[in-house]
Amino acid sequence: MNKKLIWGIGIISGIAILLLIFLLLNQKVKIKEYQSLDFRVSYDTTWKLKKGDNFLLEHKKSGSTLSIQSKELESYLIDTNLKELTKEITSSIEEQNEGFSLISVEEGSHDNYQSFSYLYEKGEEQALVTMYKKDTKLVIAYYVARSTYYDIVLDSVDSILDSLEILVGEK
Amino acid sequence: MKKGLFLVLVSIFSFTFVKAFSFDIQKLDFQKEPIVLPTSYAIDIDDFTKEEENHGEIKSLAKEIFSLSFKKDAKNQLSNYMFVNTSNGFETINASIFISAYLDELSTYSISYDYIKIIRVVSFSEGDLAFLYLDDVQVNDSIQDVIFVYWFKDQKLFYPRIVIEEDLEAYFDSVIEEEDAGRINGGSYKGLSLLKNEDVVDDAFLSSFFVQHVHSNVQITGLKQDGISSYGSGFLISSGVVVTSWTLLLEMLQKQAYIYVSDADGQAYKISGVISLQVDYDVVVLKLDRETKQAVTFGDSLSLEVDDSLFLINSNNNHYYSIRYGSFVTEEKGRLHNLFALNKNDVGSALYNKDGLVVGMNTTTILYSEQSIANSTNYLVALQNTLNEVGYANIESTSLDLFFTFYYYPLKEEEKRLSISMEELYLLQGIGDLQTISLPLVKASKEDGILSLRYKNTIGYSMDTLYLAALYEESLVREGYTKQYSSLHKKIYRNDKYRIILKENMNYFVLLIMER
Repeated sequence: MNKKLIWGIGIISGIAILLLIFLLLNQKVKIKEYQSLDFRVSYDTTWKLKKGDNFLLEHKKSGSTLSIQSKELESYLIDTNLKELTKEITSSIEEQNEGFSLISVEEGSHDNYQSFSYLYEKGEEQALVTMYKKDTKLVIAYYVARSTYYDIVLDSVDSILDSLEILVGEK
Repeated sequence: MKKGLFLVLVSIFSFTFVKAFSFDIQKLDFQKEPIVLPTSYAIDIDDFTKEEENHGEIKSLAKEIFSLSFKKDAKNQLSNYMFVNTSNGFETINASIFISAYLDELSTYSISYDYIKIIRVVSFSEGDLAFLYLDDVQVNDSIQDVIFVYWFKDQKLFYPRIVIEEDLEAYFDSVIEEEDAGRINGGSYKGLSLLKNEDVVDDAFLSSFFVQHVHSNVQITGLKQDGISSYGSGFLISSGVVVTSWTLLLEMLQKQAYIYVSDADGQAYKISGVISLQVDYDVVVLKLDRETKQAVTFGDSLSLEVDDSLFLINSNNNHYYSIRYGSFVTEEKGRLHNLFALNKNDVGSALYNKDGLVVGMNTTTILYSEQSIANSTNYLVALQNTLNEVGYANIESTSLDLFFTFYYYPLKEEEKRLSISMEELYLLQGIGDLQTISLPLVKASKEDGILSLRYKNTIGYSMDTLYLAALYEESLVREGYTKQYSSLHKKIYRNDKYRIILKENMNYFVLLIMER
């Protein structure tokens, strides 16, 4: 065989192998961190952070979304139990999302502060709303997915929400 | 071709017009009235607000003092901030003594804390009081809430002190002990003395005061099905009409408790309905099922002066009543700032001045501190007049059942979505014995090579959902799976071919089966 041809094949193969290695390395899932004045959270690169004022992740493969928003409450609510606020919150959720049915409620706890989770459903879509309160900071996370993907991506959502740290205290 | 194009267009339109779930947290409104009541008994609170003043400078100063208190040369450092009265050497000497005593007391504690939860500042004629609240502080061998109190005069430190949770608990325990023994004097928590108080508050005064006014005060009880009760207080503003804190009642409604009212004679009353409600003012007015004894007489909270004695009468042992007292600091837009230690039982109770007139209603804003806030009852005077004119029999009210209904969460049945039938699932080999899972299957799908199954826990919240799948786990082990991970809510099993995740979430059992 022509020496030049052999060299050519060898170089192209080498480049192809290097390219493959590069692509494989870049496919490795990494952990990223997001921080605002109100909270800090970690997420992996199967999610993409969308541009905008609020924290909004989109799952690359399934199109599911996870949003985390916060609100500073009035100081007189600092010691108010989150349970006393849930009715106002769920009423507001239901006003903003007509047709969604509440199918499950759960009280939980996360890192020494209270949380409540509400699972809504409408047609093919399921939405998990989890609310947290620490002192005067209210944080609401909602995860929305098609029902076929909901449980599959839920594990990743749980990891993200487990990493949530609400930032409070006199500044 | 045309048919295909038409179908594509229909799909696009369907997709675009189906509104996905979304939520804007900024649209939340906690001041909204949950249920609209008739306006005949509306409470006008025009100039009332729960918003607190900024007090940025004093807060910064307080933080600085707090930080310097822990330095090795704290005494020297704090001397730069000490109040000096050039025309009254006595006050200057006092400031020096107070600061020394504070630092000496601080040195007896080993304190470790995470952050200052909140700083509350009250400005009054004699300066500013700053209260620095710290929760869950390591104080020597125990975890306690701690409050650092700084009294500033002309933005200089006059009197610093420390309040430890166990001191407050000991005080409230002593109140209960007195009530248990049938004694009515609950005393006062060792608060700051702002001025030389001329009021005579001795046993004789307290006994007389108690006898005159005890029958105007009631206890509110929320009894849950499990027998655990929650308690608060209220007071009569007209025969058969009680005023209490909306926050207190809301808590009982949320817990679906049976709510009733009792007086100092042990008479119990049902609640016929709600006459008036003002969420922002934190007041709810209730009609009882029959007429009662004496109602309170309102005074004018604006006539209060610094260090005026204030009183409350209620029950802490949920049986006998007692009287306690504190002092007034200042009023800001309808909110009375007091040095009066309150606990949960005191929420909704009447705050009396020394003439036996009610000037405020104690609120839940600050509890377990020497500081507390009461809402001025000046806004209730007009309503009391109206109710007295109308008379008990003619007072209209809205049933409490309507409120219970509003605060109850009705859960809907979810839609079953099985893209794989049970029969097809049972035919699958090598993924454990799905027939051992006796819970109803509500979701089954396969996406990207992952089989996802969701079962509903219909046994109840008392049963751990993962425990209900124990037989399925055993079947995995029999098939040669090894446990790779285990936690309270999740387990992972694997073999050469599959990775299986078992999860508990929102009272569902979720199974994810994926090829490795």
